Amino acid sequence: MFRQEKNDAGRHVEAQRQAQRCPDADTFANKYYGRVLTGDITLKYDDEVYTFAVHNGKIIDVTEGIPLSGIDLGVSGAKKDWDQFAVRKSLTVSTNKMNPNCLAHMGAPLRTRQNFNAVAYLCRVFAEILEGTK
Amino acid sequence: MAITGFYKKVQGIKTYFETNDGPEDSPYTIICLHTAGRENRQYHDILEIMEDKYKVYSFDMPAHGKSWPLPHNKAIDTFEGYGAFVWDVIQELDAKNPVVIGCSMGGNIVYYIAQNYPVSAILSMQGADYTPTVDARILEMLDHPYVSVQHSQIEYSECLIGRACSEEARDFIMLGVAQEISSTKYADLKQYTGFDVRDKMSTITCPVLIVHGVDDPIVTEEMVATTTARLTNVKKLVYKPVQDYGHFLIVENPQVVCDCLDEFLSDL
Repeated sequence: MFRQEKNDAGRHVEAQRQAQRCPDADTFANKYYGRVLTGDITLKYDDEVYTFAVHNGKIIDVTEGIPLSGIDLGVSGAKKDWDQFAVRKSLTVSTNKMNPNCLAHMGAPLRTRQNFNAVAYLCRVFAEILEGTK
Repeated sequence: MAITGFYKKVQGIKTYFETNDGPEDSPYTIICLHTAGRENRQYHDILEIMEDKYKVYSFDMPAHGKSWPLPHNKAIDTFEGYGAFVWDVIQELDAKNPVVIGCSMGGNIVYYIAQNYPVSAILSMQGADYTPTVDARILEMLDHPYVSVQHSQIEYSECLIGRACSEEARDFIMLGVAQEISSTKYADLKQYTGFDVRDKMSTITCPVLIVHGVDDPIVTEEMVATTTARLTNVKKLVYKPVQDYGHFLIVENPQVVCDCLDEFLSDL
C-alpha cells in the first residue's frame, strides 16, 4: 500500500517536472512569479490530499496528506469542482462565491494573496494532470 | 489623434478630463466612466472613433490616474458618493443631454445615476444592479502592507479578458494592473461589492443600452439578465451581447461599443 502511494506521488512529481519543462514553465516562473514561491501547497481532491513542497518555484517533494506543520497554501474541492476548474482555468473565477461548483482556499489568507498567481497556475497543472489520468 | 486633456475642479478636487472635441452640435454629450482601479485612457479608442459625431468626455475619478485624491489621499468608497461625483462632473461640464456610459464599476453606477439624476440615457457594460462578488478577506488584503496589489491581482484581471481580445489591448489591460494604487483599488472594490440598487430599478425611466461581453466570468449573462428583468419602466431597452469579448469591453472591442451606442442614440 505504501509503495503504491509512493508511486502515485512519484507520478505527480514526474508530471510536474514535465509541466515545468514545457514552455509554460516560464509563464509560471516569471509571469506568475512562481520563482519566488517557497512553501507547501496542499491540494485536496474529494478525499485525496497531497502536499507539494516548493522551493523557489521548484517542487522538491510530494507527500500524501496535510503537513505536520499545518496547511500553508491550499485548495480543495470535490471532483465536480475540479472538473469545472479545468474548464474555467481561473482560480479567481473558481473561488468566486457567485459561481457554482467552486473550489475553496485552505491556506492562510495572507499567504494565499501573496502567492495567488503561482497557486492558481499550479492548480491548472494539477487539473491537467487529473484530466490526463481519466 | 484628436484628444485634449484638461483639468477642472469637481467637488473641490482637481479632476483630469480628456475629450475628443467632438462637434458643438453633437446631439448628446457622452460621459465615460472607467473600471475599478484604472483610469480614463481606457476610452482613448472610443474618443477617437466618435470624434466626428459625438462630443465625448472621459475623466479620472479622484485618486485615479491623474486626478487628485480626496483629503488624506482617499478615494470615494460608496456608490452614493460615486454617483454624486459623476453628476457634479456633468454639471461642471455643463453637458447637454448627458449620456453616461460605464464599464464594470462604471457599468454598475450608471444604474444608480439613472435612478437619481436626470440623464438622457445610459449605457451599461459589464454592469449589474447587485455585485457582491469580492470575498471580504480578499478585499481586506487589497490594501495590506504585506500584499502587492499590482502582483496579487494579475490572475484576477487576466481571467476577465475575452478570448478574442488582441495582444495589444491585453497588454494595455495588464499595464493597468501594474499601475493600480492599493488604497484606491480597495475603495473601488468595497463600493463595488457593496453595490445593490435592485429595489429602485423600476424607477429608471430613461433609455437603457446594455452591451455585454459574454466572456466575462465575474459579471455573467445571468447577472445581466436578472438586472435587465428589473428594468420595468424604461422608455427603451436594448441588450447587445458580444461574443468572445470580456470584462474590459471598452478596451477589448471599442468599435462594437461605438457601433451599438451610435445605433441606439440614432433611434432615440
